[in-house]
Amino acid sequence: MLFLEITGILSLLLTVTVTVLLISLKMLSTDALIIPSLAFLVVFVFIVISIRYARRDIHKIHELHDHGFYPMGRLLVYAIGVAMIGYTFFLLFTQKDFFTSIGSIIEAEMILVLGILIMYYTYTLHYLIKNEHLRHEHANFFDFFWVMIFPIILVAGSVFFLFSQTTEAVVSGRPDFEVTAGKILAEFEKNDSVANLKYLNKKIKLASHVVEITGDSSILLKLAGGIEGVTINCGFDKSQKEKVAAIIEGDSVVVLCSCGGFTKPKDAGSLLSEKYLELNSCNLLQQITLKPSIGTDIENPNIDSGKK
Amino acid sequence: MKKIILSLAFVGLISTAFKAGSVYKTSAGEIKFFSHTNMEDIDATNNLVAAALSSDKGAVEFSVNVNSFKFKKALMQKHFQENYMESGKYPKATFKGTILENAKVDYAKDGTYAVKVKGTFTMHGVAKDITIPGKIIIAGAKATLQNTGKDFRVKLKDYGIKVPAQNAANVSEDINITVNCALIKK
Repeated sequence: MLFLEITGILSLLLTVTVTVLLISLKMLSTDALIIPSLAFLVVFVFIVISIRYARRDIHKIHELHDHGFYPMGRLLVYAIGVAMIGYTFFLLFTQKDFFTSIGSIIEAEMILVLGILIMYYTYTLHYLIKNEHLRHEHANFFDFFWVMIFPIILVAGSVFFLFSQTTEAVVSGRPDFEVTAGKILAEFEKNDSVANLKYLNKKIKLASHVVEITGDSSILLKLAGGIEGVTINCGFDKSQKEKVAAIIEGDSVVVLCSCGGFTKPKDAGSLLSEKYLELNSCNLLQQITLKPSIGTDIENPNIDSGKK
Repeated sequence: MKKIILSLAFVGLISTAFKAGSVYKTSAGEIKFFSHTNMEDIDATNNLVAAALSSDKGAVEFSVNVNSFKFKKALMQKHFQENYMESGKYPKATFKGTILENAKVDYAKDGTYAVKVKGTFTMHGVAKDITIPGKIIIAGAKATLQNTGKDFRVKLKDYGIKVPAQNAANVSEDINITVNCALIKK
């Protein structure tokens, strides 16, 4: 049996199995498959045509070189392979918090593996055609490495990485949004469903002054929101106790937190009458005694809403 | 005579004020849940639970933002929030009920009182009437509501929460929920 056919089928089965598994676990969006699928389709058509033509008459393999579709197709496929590998690095260096986004890692991995397979198969096919036989009798370690071992190591490594990743007790890194307290609360007051879609689980950086310090199992700072009766409740992990111990009511703080959602009374007779925006896993970035006007950023007075 | 009338009026005012009761509140209560299977133990904690208790009628309310539950493993937290609890669609879990033996709880005296709380628990958009055994610990101006996980077990399928077949071996069908909320008199 042809080396190309057997390894090709195995690689294809491996890719399809991993893809189906990831989609069924809702770890991969079908949108992420558009680019790899299109590239894969082009390459698949090219390889099938080449093999079919070559096998039809084994003595005329060299004639493939004279066919327009072959050299042009080969260059196109190489270009696709290079573009896919390049796109992986593009994602790696341009996508914010790449290594904390499971979807980004998986998408990049799939594109990288397919890019390498495309380059490998095109090169091997070209080598076989040039030597006028389609039996790859001298498959070496590198043939197996790129086709089978590399994808398996990559997939197994990333699965281990994803499953062993622990949560952060304190939010770090670049904020998704730098907003004023008044602006974000106004958005939740206007339509909390729309604001939830925008902010939920995102990193929010904001500044305001402390109106209440409470908490038992954790530390809770209630910040002024600039809207009557509405506060921003910032939850700190108990590991942050020392860091926030010096804060007193009236202090101004800059915090980086994860957005937990907006809470408002369900009905008029509810005992839980407070209205607040809940932020969790907070990180105290700055604490100053100067009391700013509500909703003004301490570090940069020009700070406004808008994605960073 | 005048003094007696004034004294009675004073006692009346005091007792009216006492009957009106107090409201205890927190925005930083703790709720934990625990799932045990032969494959894996999963636990998560939420330290930002809003809870309130009215001492006169024994009314209690809890509100929890699903997204504020913290897990040890990031992937499990993501699955819990997005796939199981569908937090984008159902961001909160709530409980609204009454302490059945409220009359035997003396809010003015420090002590531990075993109670049962009956009410409606809403999670994942499904509301169920439940009764939870627990205790109230009174210590000055603080009333702590506690239960043990064994007393409060929730069947995921009762609340329409589906665990994919691939994860069924890792996530138990019954989840134990432990409440520990220290409420302060307001």
